[in-house]
Amino acid sequence: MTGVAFFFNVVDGKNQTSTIEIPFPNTTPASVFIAGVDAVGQLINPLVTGGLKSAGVKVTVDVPTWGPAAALNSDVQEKMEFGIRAANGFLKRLNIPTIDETMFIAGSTEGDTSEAALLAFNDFLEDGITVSSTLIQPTDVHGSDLEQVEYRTENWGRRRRR
Amino acid sequence: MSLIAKNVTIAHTKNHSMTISNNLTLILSINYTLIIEFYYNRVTRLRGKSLAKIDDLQAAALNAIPETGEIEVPLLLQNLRASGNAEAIPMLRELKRDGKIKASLVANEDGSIRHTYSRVEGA
Repeated sequence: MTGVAFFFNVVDGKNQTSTIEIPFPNTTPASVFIAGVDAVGQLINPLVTGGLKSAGVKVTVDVPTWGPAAALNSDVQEKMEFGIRAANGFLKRLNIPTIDETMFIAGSTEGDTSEAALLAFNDFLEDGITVSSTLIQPTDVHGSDLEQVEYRTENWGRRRRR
Repeated sequence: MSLIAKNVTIAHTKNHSMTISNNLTLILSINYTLIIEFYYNRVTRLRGKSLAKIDDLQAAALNAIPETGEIEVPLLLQNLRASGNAEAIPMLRELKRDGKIKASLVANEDGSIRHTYSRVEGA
């Protein structure tokens, strides 16, 4: 099991909170934890209408650059689900709450990778990001490298279903 | 042209089915329409487009990336839209999956993120 994960708490306009958790290999150096959380948070931030409230790697870190305000119409029940195939064949599912609806193709439930912010997050999931000259790449919970995003689709939470 | 697929089942005209795994090289005996459906599953906005059209879009996307060096992705998307090739944008994912281009994400010290694409040498 992977022992390291970056987590991001997202708050919506109704003050509900939802957490995004992205595992990384155990070998991820502690020296890049804070910069890594900040960098990945900046990839998530353009995707969401909620506010990134706090984040960390087992401990919360200060992330002053994101802007804490949640849009009034943001909702943690409105999510985009990413399905990413890992090297071991398992499918890692990752949900981004308070997703900005402009990240979907108009008239569709599919994520729009012609949006630069979504394409950047997509490439981060597949290829990782270089932080302080160190490449960090997310994994699944088994520590297996994430290789390919197979889908990104609308995933409304249970409370939004009628 | 090659398709990369994992356990994709393609229905055959006589209600038989076949499973394709790993790297699939297009073979003439596979029904043309079914290949389009396969692409459709991966790139929704290419529904109904011919293979020739898809090749044209891939070429447009690849040509927008310099032969040497890298280009920032927001600028690349802007260039494709400005040149009337917005339809080619989804093909960037296909080019990356086929190993023809590669992505780079770097967190700068000023807090910004640099996201670039470059061609893979020899691809």
